[in-house]
Amino acid sequence: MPYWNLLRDMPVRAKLRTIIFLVSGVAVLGACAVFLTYQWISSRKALVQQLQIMAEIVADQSTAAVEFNQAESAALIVGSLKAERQIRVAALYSKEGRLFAHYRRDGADAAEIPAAPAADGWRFEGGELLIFQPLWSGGERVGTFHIRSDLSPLWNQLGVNVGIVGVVLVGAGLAILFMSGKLGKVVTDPVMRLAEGVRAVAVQKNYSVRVEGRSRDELGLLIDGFNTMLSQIQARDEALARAKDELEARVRERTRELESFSYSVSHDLRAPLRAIDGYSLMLIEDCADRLDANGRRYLDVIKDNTRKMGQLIDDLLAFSRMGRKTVETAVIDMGKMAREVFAELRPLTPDRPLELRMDNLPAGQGDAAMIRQVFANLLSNAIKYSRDRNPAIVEIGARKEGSETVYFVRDNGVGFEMQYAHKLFGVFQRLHSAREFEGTGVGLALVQRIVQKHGGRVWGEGEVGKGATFYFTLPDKSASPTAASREEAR
Amino acid sequence: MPSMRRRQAGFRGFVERMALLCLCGIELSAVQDRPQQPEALPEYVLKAGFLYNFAKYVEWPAEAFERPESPITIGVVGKDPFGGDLEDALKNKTVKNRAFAILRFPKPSDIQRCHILFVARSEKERVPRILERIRDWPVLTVGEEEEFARAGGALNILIENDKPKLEANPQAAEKARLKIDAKLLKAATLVKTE
Repeated sequence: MPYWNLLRDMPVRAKLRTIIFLVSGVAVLGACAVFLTYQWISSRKALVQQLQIMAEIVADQSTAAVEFNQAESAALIVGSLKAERQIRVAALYSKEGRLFAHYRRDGADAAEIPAAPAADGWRFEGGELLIFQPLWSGGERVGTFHIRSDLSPLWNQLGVNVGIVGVVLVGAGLAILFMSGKLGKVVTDPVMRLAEGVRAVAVQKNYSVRVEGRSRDELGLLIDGFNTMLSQIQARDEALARAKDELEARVRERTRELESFSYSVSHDLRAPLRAIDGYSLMLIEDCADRLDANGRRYLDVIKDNTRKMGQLIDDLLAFSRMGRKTVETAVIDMGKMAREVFAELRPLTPDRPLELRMDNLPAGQGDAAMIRQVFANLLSNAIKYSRDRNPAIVEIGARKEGSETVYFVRDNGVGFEMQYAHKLFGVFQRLHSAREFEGTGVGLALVQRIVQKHGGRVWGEGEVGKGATFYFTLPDKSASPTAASREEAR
Repeated sequence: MPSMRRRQAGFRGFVERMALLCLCGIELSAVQDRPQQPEALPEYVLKAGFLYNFAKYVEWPAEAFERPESPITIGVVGKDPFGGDLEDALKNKTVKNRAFAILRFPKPSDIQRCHILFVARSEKERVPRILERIRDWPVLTVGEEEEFARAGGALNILIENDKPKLEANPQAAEKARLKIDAKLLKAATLVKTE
């Protein structure tokens, strides 16, 4: 099983090459084994044949020497086998089986010469070939000729064949290596291209890549399918981006309409309000003596509400105007600015025990007037919602976080429930009634708008009865305003 | 006693050679029939066998025989040394479907046409005369004396150190229009007519 896992985890190129190598290797090895076996069998047969013919010839040549009892010439004939190096021993036997003449190769033992002939024919025995050949003369058997040969021709032939097999194996191996590389490309190249395409899509999210492939097989289908899928995704992405752009443009358009509407509304509301205010004043100044106590009190209520409404309209105008204002970036000494704003607000409630805690603040980049407005709104809120505390503590701080600075204003006032935190920054959204704490519900909305114009974020944290903390961030390089603020600046 | 031992070895070698005779187509029983006289008789038992064997290695011209099945005639000239051994050796024997016939010629002048002529030791002095008589005939002449082959005889059977020795004179055989198998010539010592 580990071998299969090894194969499974290989790259396709190596896998294909390995498979081709294994399969053709088995085929070539099988063929070589068959070749060697066949060669061994046939060279055995050839050796037997060759020695049989030799034995027949020698036997035929030596009949006269045996018949006429010429041991010397018999020894000469038998000795002629010396030229055949593989023959260890040769012997002539008389009709009665008596050893008549013999030949012995150097190194062959005399004991290898049988004292008497064995059965006619040939046989392999102890790594040697033994032949007993009858001697015939005039239809009569006159003796036996014996040859004992080693198998050196067989081994030599085997050596040659093994050499051939080696050459074939090496040649086939190289050819397979070369061809598997060339042919394998037909399969692996499309796969590699596909893998590269997939990587480009997965890593770079680049849906514009296309994989080339012209083959008409399954791989070609796969590549076509992949390309089609990419086209679809790309088309959908583009449609989505277009829809988003359209939507944003439409939202901007609506916002602008809304802003100009609210601006003109609040502007137009001022004129009748001024009339009401003016006439109420005239009524008090000119006709006060003709009014009874009730009448004067009613007029006071009218005056008071007129003032509130004026405030409301002013706030709304400021908020609307903010949409049109351009951010004029400069380096701001945030600590100094916060102190100044606090100093301006402090006299409004001179009798209250109020404490400011503040460290040095890092300098920020932004529109000085707008940031001053942010501090003003946050500090006035902090002072307002902590008026029941003794002492009321307002804390201003900051910390660096990555490429931005987080500023905060904290108080120990009434706080709020976190579940309503999302409502804090909506226009006219209030968590407390105007009767408890005066205000128009525009302040935090304005803060949010300013901070967002600077490319920052704003959020609040609080707990009922334990105070609230408002955070806003300013990017370190607000010199390059965000796309959104640039859009709005236009 | 070295001389005694040599004698024994010689004897043993001879007994072995006795057995060899069977190679030449002689029944072993024939040898055992005369165990008391190994010196004289076995020599001619051997020579009788050789005469039979020669027939196997020699080819006569076609005109030497009247018919395909005509017997091979063996003539013995001079004092016959074989006794019955030649008849024993050739009994029921054939070579290329030819049986054997035996003729005896006491004197050279008695010689008639035959295929193999054995010149007995007694005719040692008359060899030239005998050869002259058969000059034009296809006859294989076989002798048993030293100078026979050199004198113009085709084959000569000698006994040297108790071992049979063959001499062949291919020139003489050719003259008699006979073909002697190369195997036989190889087994023999070749000599020339002097």
